[in-house]
Amino acid sequence: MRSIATNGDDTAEISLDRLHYGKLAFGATLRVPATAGYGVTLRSCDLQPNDDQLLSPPRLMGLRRFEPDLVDPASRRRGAFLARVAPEPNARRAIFLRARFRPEDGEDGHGRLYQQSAVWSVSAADWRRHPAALLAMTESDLEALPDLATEDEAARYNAAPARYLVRFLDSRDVWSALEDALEETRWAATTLEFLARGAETGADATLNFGADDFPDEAEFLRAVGLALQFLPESYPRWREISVVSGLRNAPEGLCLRYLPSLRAAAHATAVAA
Amino acid sequence: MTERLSMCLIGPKKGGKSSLLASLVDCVAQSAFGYSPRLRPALQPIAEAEYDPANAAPKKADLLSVEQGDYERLRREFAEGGVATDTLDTYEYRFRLTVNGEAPAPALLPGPWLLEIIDSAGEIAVPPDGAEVAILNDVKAKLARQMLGAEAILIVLPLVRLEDSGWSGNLARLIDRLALSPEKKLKRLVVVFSQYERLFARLGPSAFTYACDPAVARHALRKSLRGVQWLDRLRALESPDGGGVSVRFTVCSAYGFVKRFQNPNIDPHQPGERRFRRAGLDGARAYNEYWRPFLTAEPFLYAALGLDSAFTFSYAQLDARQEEG
Repeated sequence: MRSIATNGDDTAEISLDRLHYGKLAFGATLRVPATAGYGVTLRSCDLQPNDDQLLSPPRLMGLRRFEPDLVDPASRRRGAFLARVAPEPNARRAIFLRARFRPEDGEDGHGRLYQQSAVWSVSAADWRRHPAALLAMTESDLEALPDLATEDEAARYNAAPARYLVRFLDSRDVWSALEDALEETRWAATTLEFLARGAETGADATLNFGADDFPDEAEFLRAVGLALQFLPESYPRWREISVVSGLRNAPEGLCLRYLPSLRAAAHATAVAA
Repeated sequence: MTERLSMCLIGPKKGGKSSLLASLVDCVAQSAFGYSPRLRPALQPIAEAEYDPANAAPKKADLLSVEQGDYERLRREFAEGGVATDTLDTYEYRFRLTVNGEAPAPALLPGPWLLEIIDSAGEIAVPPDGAEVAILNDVKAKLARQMLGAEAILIVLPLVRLEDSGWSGNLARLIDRLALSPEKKLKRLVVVFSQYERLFARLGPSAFTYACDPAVARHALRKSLRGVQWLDRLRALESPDGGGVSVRFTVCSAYGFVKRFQNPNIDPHQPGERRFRRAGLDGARAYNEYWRPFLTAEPFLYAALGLDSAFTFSYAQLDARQEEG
């Protein structure tokens, strides 16, 4: 995990460490060979084997065990998504997780399911500075795909961090976009009110959105990214915020969650945990 | 008097440990075991709080979270084709076992028995020979602790292609370590050969009849165990120096045989490996009309009660058969 490097203009480079848990696969359909068992299949060079436990999907999700029925039916193919400051005490990193269950006999197979996940780890300071950009990046690029059994093992356990260039956003542009959203949509006011109330009460709470609020995960993450980008530096519960999509479990703290199969709600609902 | 018993399910990955456990309650409910029907056992999943009220962790409520028991979830996953148990933890399932009918005294205590059955990924205890499997140290240590604290261990092995197994060296080493551990609480060890129905795949409607003959099971076991390198290591557990553990061998099939039609319950017309099901129904209900698991209660009931059925075989029984042959 490396800190942000500014480029002297209005851009900066973010470095993301990666960790994959699941099984190795082969072939066009990414079948799991009979000999492949569960394990960490890729680890960035800046992560240590000790990080395997700290970055295990159930731990990040606040669960004893990650199970298929915890994934929203509409999110099963791509998997559930989670962004948050890592749950370890005094964590200095934020994590982005994509996790799903896929068939061992290939992407469209009918065999036994197994867990496949991918984690990105960035400095918590980068997450605080660039929530909109990071959520957009993860939405586009973070996939729970198995590594290939044919890939060199040494290379997989010494993988280079992913690097992304992000632009510093002008707070006036952020406010302007949010102002438009406040006029045209329901989510903006609801989200800002939820975050404001969360700061006041200090209580755990979850704000749920469904398909009536956003057509897909990308739209949800774009909206939440904008709202988080708007939060002032002094927002007291930043480290407790989690952004969740497609996962039927909400971590403790303030959780902004999208469940694409949730259609019954006429509008976003806040649920006290 | 209530008795608490802990048992561990171990064996290579894809050997059928979770399927065996998932079909346990249905096997007991359908009396699809080799015990006398007069035994009338009953098995009910219970919460951690009932098994161990002092140490049960309080659960956080979430209105939109799925609230169902762990065992119910396991059964559902089994119905949907199964999920490979991950290596991130070991998983405990708890049951209340009662025996409501006649039991041969003096072996039996009045019960009930509170059972804790520990399931874990095969990669943890019996990894493939020669493979470097990265398992979290905490998880390995937890399973080792649970195995040493267990009164019973069930080793689940796939019956078919046993000679091709790439894990037998690690299984032998595990058995050796168990035999040498003075702190173990182990009283009973059951070697369970799963996927028994596959031996009868070509027998059609005669399959169940043959499978129900204990002599056939004993023959299949004897054949499967021929030349197996860890077999004699197990004998060390039975010796007084090894702890005087009671070792038994049995067979089972989680998919079982089709009710009424009696053939092995694997539908060749379905993609993957699926049981026969009633079209138009969802979930477990679709399978219930045809599904009869076979002897999946056997290893658990023996492990809990120490009571032999027509399908649990000791070394002495297997050796005797060998001498006859």
